[in-house]
Amino acid sequence: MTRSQFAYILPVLLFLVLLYFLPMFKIVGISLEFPDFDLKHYVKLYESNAVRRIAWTTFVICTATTIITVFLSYILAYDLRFASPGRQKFMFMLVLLPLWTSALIRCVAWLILLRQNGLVNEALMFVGAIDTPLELVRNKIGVIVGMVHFLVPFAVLTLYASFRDIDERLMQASRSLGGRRIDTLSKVFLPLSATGVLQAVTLTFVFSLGFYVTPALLGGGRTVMLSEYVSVSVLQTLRWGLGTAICIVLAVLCIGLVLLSQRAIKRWNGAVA
Amino acid sequence: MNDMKTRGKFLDMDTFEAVRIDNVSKYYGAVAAVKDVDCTVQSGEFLTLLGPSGSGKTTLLMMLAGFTTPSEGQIWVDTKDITHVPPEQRNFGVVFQGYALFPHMTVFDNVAYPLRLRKMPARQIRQKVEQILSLVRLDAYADRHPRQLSGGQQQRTALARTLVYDPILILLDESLGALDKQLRGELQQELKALHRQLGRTFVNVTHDQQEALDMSDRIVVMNEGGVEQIGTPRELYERPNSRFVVEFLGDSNLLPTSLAFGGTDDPSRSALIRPEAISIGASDTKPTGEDQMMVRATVRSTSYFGSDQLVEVALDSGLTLRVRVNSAHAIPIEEGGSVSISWERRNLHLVDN
Repeated sequence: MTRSQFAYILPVLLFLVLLYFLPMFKIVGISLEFPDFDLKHYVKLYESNAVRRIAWTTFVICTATTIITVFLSYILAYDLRFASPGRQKFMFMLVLLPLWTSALIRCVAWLILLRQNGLVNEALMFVGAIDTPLELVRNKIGVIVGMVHFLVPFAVLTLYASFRDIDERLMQASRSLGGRRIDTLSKVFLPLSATGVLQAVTLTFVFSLGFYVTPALLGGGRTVMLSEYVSVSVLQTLRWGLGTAICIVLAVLCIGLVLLSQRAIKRWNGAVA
Repeated sequence: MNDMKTRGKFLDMDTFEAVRIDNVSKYYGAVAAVKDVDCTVQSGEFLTLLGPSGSGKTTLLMMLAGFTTPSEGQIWVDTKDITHVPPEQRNFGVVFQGYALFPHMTVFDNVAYPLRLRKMPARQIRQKVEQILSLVRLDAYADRHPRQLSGGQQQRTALARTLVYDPILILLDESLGALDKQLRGELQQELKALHRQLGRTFVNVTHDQQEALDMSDRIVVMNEGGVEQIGTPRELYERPNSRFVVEFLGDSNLLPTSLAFGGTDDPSRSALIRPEAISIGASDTKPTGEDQMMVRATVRSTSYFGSDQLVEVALDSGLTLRVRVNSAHAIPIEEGGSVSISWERRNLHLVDN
């Protein structure tokens, strides 16, 4: 790298060091009781029943969210892939629209829709499908609904990008060889989209681990996820050591997942393409 | 019309229609990609759709395959109208541009795919696939993935995949186009041999006139969505019926009729003479026969190709002609030199202007 090239990346480098790496080191330091090297917070994490329960809740919610998000996004992205250019434009607009709305407003909107006397319950009771209102918010269901809504655009874009790399002639070849649409989808398109699905699953899961506003609002304090617990530890109970230790574990988990999925994708691509 | 005349001449077996394209048009908005195409595919023949890009040949092929629906007209197999039958129910085979082999399957699985869709028992599938793979000399490659194959092997795999289920018709979409020249020549010969051996019906799309002339029983020359002429390679080369066919197929000279035949001029027509039908001689050569026409000319340029050379000569009228001279009978030709050129009247062919 020449001196002038270095000068170009210097501002970004400074920005990253000052606002990202330094605080990260600081967090690692706090969690280890720097300058000592004490693992007591990590031991506590492992032993605490509360943390274990919250971690399990987080895992269940994130897994459910990921499965639902990727499934719905797969259908959308598949339709997008083969839509006419005009319809594609329109669909993209609808997919991207929620991204321009703040997470807070979306959560409030879901609250209004899903609460006891909200639109969904009222409508269901009106048509006589239910007698008493369903519990749709302030529990896991509400959190999952809100998170899926937030994550679908990201998953759709990831899947769509990978679907676009699948040669349309492969689908045509399958049909000309006698494959009905369902054969073509299951035997040709689905296997070839595996890496895209893995990318979308990783992105969605990693993203969902860090959700804070949505669970806080739609979980109504009863469904607590790890990031909310971090916030409580740092801001309310002032247990900084515990909070930062959770952060580090989450960060390591995320990096590990990303690396693992990248390796799997590389191996798969090496095998087929 | 044209194919009525030639029917039966080019095949020694009893011929019958495999597929009939009945007045088919395809419009994209106001633009006609294919316009009023009428043509039959005879059972067992190798038919080539030849034309420049944008001539509608690929659109026509895609309508045959069923991926594109005609705006007008019908496509018939025997007495069955298949115009709106989806591709998976046509029982045609398509070898796509780029071959479209399934990258996640081995050669064996690619070839077995259409049989598995047809729910054939596994033992029978193995037997049929092995048989067809040995026919295209790929038995040793059954466990490879497409990316581990050369271009020629991929092409043969794609062909095997369409041959294995006995389709009524095999469609080839510029399937030799992506290969280098030498390999293309080899595969042309191989495909020709396979066609003879199996007696299957092929429709090939290409813009390569050499490929079309070499491989086809008949050629459909297409231009701007319509059919210019249908005929055997020899018919098209020797008796083209339009200026387009003249200029698209092979090298050509178009002469005013007065010069070509002697006598008065017919301004509505030109005379075609192929470069190889013109002889070149020393400037003091005398005409030898009744049928021969001879004029003086000056050599403009020569290009040497080994087996022959292409000589461009200018007549006194300013008209330039291309002459192909076989190297074995060549007289010394110098640029700027004076020569006499001659042709036989029977080698001329009249074309409407």
